[in-house]
Amino acid sequence: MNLEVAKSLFSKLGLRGALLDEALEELEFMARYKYDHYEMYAPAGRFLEHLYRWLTQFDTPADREAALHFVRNDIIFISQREMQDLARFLYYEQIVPRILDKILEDSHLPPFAYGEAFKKFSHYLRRCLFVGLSDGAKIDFFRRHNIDVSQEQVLPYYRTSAKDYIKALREESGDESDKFWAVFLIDDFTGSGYTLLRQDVDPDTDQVRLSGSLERAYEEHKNIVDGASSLFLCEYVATHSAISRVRSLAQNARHYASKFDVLCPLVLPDEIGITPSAVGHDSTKSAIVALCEKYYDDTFETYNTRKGGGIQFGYGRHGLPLVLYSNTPNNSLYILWFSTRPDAQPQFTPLFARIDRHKAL
Amino acid sequence: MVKHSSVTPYYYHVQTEFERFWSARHVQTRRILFIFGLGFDPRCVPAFRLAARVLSNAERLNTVCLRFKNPLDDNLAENTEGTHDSLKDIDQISWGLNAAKYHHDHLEVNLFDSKGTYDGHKKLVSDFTAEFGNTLRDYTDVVIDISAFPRSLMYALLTRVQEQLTPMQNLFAVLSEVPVPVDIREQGYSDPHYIIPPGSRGDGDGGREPMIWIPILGGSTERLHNIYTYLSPKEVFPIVPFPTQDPRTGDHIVLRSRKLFDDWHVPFSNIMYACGDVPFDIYRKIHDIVERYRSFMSTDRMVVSALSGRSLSLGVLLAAWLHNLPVCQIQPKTYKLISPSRDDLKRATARANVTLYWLSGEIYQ
Repeated sequence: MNLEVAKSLFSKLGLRGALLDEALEELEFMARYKYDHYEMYAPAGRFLEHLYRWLTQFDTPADREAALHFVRNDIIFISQREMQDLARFLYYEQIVPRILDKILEDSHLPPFAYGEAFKKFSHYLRRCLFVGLSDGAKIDFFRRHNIDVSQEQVLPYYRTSAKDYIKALREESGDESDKFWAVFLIDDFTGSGYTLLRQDVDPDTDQVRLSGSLERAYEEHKNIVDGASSLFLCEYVATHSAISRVRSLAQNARHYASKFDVLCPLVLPDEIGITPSAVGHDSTKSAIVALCEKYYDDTFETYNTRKGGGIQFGYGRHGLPLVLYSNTPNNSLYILWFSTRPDAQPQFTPLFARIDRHKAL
Repeated sequence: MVKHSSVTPYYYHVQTEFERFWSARHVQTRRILFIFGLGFDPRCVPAFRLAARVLSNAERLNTVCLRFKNPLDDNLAENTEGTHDSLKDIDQISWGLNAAKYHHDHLEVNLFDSKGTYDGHKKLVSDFTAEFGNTLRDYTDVVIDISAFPRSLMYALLTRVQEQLTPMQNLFAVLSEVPVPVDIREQGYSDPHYIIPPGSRGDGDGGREPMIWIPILGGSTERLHNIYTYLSPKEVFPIVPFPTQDPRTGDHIVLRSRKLFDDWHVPFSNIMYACGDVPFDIYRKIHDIVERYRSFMSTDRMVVSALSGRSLSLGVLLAAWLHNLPVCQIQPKTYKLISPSRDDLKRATARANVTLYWLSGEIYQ
């Protein structure tokens, strides 16, 4: 939708003229720059079309203004190019320094003697295993852009076997006992850390046990993880609270406790969350909270979402204003991503529709 | 898509807390020259305060305070008062140092000549070289605190010092940042000018017009427009800060620079991203562009400009050094601290993070 069509269409929404013109000019630009590339969009159904439909469902001009203000000022949209750049940044600024620090430690070199340590860099790099933890891990991009990393040390998905990778390493070095000293588990985003690691109660024994993808990754690659001295969870984007939570829970996992850390190039501060308890005296954020309350209906929930505390302020009540180019996290406010079935009442139309990886029961 | 076929400069680097770095070095064996700029901005003090504590046991510690004078400053009275206050703090700190191993110098630099033409960067280089040029070889480490340096002066001084040091002498930049947002308004600009002119450091005749412009976006759009008009580049590759502490910073900057994309038709696909806090990341991005064009274009036709923060500006300078790129800048005539108040900013400097960037020397040999 071009700007001229948008101005004529949006004029029906009862918004103040000057505000609307300014907002549309800005958002039409942002649509071209980023928003139109949201992967759930299609021709004739890109950002401005969705924005129009989204705004019409709010009853009053005041609600629409609040919603428009939210889109202009609060939404954090991570584009595909930005995500790819986070993958590069992760390698150069977070992985390379960890490898050099390991060399300093093993070689008893003084701190910051990176020039000396770098002489052994390729040996140590080859003994790192990079494992995709989800399909959003951009592991193909990670490998293609970091040519120093061999194809035989990048496992696209953690549920596939790494047996051939160890074999290749041992054949290459001629050392039958050679092993990976570090495992880097790579993922695109975590909002709460719940999918990665959580404490469940075993219904048979009533005992608390850890579960989640980090536990499954360990089960798949037990020998490699046990033989490694370091394991890094690498998230391109994560909330501060998710990182703290996963770090803390990992200490309870015997196989991770002494070797676990989290690397993350884009840490989202908890203050970006929009929830009733977090908005304080901020009137514009209070208006968003009011929208989330007014247009919410209990029928929006499923068994699974209720288990996670409901979607009104995003899963886990993180209240994130976050959209990733490939999907919108369920930790984000439901008004961004939630859509009702065609026959449901009441109806709700999202701005950035979400594909749910966790199917409802 | 470019693959990194070999190890590039700054593949590894050191960017760390100033105190952490020096605590891990044997400063007793180091001969250190610490240079800093004095200004109304109280962020010129924390690194010096820290240096006085952490480096006081050095075999030798010399400090040089550069005082920038700007008679065209529309906010002269207020800024001069701020500068005097900073000077009081500096004097108090230097009095506490051991006179036997410590020497302190001052150097005054006029930013504009009597006709109002900006030539501060040239003046700084000539005055500094005259005063200290012959003694630079005596030091093991040269540390330049860029916290209160106008960009063009920072570029000029770092470049001159880097050219004069031997490969095993270390050059560091230091930057103090406070945990509160600081808004300093710029008013009135000099004409755009080259800090590093085309052909001055490498191949190329320097006589041809620029083809490619690589601006690091941020700050005033007036500066962006003025330099664009001056250079009239055929292709622009803007670099946008990302990731940044505020994840929306890059979007705000792109929005403010709309003219670049809408009026000058720079395609969005030309945008590159680099971390707002890591100059070595900026270096890497500029390096990528240069490598793609090098086979069919001389590097003196690729001009870089930093319109953003000092950390990013440092990355531009590294790229200019290593690829012989011209640097085009513009100098504001007046700075005015809008928020917080100077007193609040001074209080915030007590919690300043002082970061050290190792630019050249033994680690990279």
